[in-house]
Amino acid sequence: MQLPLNPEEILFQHDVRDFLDSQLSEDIAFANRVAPGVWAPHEKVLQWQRTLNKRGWAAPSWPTEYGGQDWSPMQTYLFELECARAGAPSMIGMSLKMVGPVIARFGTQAQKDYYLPRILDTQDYWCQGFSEPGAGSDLASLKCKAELDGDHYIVNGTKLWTTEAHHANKIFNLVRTSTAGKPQAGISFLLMDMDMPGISVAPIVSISSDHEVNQVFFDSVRVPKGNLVGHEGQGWECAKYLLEFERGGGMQSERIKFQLEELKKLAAHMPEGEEPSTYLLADPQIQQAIAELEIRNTALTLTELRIVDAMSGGGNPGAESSMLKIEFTELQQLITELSTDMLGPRISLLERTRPMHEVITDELSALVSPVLPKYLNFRAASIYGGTNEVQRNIIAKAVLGL
Amino acid sequence: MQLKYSEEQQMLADSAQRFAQQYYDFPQRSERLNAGHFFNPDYWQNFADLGWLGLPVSEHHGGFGGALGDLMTIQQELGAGLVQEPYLSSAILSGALLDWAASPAQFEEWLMPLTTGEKRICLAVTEFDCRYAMSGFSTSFSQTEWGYVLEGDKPLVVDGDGADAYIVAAQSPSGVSLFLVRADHPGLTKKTIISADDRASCSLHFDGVNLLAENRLGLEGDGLELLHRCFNLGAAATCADMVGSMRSLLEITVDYAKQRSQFGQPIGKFQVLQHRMADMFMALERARSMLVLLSLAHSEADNQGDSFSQAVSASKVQINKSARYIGQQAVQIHGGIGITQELNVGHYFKRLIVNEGAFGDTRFHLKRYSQLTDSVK
Repeated sequence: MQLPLNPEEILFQHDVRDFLDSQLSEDIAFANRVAPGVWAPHEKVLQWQRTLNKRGWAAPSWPTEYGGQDWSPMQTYLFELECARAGAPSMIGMSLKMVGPVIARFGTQAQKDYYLPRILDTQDYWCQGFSEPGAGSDLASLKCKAELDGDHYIVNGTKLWTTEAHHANKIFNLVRTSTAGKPQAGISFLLMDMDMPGISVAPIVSISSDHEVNQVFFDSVRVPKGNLVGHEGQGWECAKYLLEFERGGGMQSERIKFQLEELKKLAAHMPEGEEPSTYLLADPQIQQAIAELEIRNTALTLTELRIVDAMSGGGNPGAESSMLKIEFTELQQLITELSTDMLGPRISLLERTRPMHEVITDELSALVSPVLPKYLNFRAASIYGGTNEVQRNIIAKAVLGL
Repeated sequence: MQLKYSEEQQMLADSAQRFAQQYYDFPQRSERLNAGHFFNPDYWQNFADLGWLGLPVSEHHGGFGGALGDLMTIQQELGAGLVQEPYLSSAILSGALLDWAASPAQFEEWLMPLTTGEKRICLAVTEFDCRYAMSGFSTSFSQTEWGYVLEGDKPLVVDGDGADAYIVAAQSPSGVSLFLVRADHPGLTKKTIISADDRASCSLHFDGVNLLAENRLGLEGDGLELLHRCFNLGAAATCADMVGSMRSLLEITVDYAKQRSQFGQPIGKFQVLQHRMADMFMALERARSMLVLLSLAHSEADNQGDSFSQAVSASKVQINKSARYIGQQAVQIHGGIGITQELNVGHYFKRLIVNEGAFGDTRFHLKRYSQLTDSVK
């Protein structure tokens, strides 16, 4: 399919392609290709972010005075498309796509001047303190408490599923500053350093042996009052703004295409078994199963383009972001499932060493080793960022008026 | 007609459940596995004392001559309790193979000690290029003046770490034969593999392994037929293991949905999740019915014929499908905690996905079922 681009956009696309050709190193692309987790290993992602930042492309959607690019929605789309096509790692969202936009929108001038440059050049690496043991889908019921004591908040409580907390030096936290009124009204958005006394991190390891998430504990942590973003009680508004970006912030169908290509390569390497020197990719039923996913992803590509087109008239992704989240994560899961079906008796083998790219020795293991860990890990895709059940509720309410 | 458990089977199920309750409390299990304790000789002795190791062996060989339904009864409880003992690999499969094919000398040396728990034997059959085919192996044997020599690799011997001997499937131009090879035989090297479902498995490398004629199990060229019977048995027992795991997952998930509260009520009150769990229940019932089919098909006179193979394939297809749905939805309803090491749910989920691929995946059995439909009336 040829995108209907104007000459300026075609030039831009070539520009991005040239940059990726010359700047994306093979080892970063390979680490990304075989990473079994949701993200590539963070040191590779940060390395890539520094490369992008040199070109001014680490956070193109930010306001221009803080390093953004003022791109049109189509340019942003083309940039993501080319990065995915080249196999570049996705930027880990917490810094660039979550706390950055929130500070840019709700922060004080001093906060913008201090935090935003530090995010861009990777001095700071953020994690997100949202979910709690008792507050998952029902995020507004969160209990982690911040009480004012002079110029400081005293924070007590715990956060769960905190991605990358074991690597991050900062955390943005939704805390309860009031129990009066609706639960949403008493939530505030607080910035903290991970080395503040009273913070501890406990790892949570997945059944695939990946360590991506953690539980973070806060025991009477003293946080300067100036670390509040917006005013007290504005946390829910910040969170909603951020979650729209988390869910719909990226156009992902090109990443799905990349995974489908991996699946085809895998199928071309997995023996059929009964017939010597025959591989699963030659089986018409396997071909059809892959085709079905390709076709659904084509629909997603066009849906994304329609949204880009609509956004060109201005506006944020609204309920569309829920739809994109469901489509993207379901496709991801279907691909990991079909990939797992290729394994046959190899399903019993689980590579537990991380980072994966350091133990892979040949093309066959590059194709096979990530498959089972990915299948296991990507079950989380329909859970994180708001479960797909919650996304369907949003569509039912906000779009269908039910 | 009697489709429920017989009195004997109910007793087997009860004692297997008691074993799981006593030794497989989940934190205990995790602690043992995390410490690298994959096999416990005391537990295995316990299996022998309960008579379970002799169950797959016919009475004239000193066993208890259990029917397939009896073996599946035990295996179902092992699946339900996440029990790691290598019952399927080292009692059902190797016990049955020896029962069918052992010479009097092999009976003395291997089968007797197998039923008493003194020796453990695993099957070295799988080769990845064969997928599920039971011929066309690259592990080969050729004749020498005193016997045979074995060459090749077996990349996955389930539960094979710590076994005393292996039954190895090897190929020659004339067909497949089976050989009993001691774990310490010169020329045999072993590498430990902790498989995805936390079993101490291994790979084997045969470098000029010289064997005597008496190491051969069964007649030369008999391997394919024996392995075919063994494969059906393995698939049937795996089906039972999976039904046990599914049963537990549904129970755990329903309990969780009753006590986990969000938006001011237990999540089990949300209709979307109620329907999901009702569908899980139905998937489990389909799976249970297939176990009954297996028992019935096996009791028929010709229990090695195509009609049994067809019943096995039908069961594995349906049970694989049920398992995928139940596994995925159990995780989804639990949320993030469902795929962590810390909760049993993820371990059931992983056991089910490994078992889906054991003894034929869905694609293999769908194909075999369709092919057999023409030959079975």
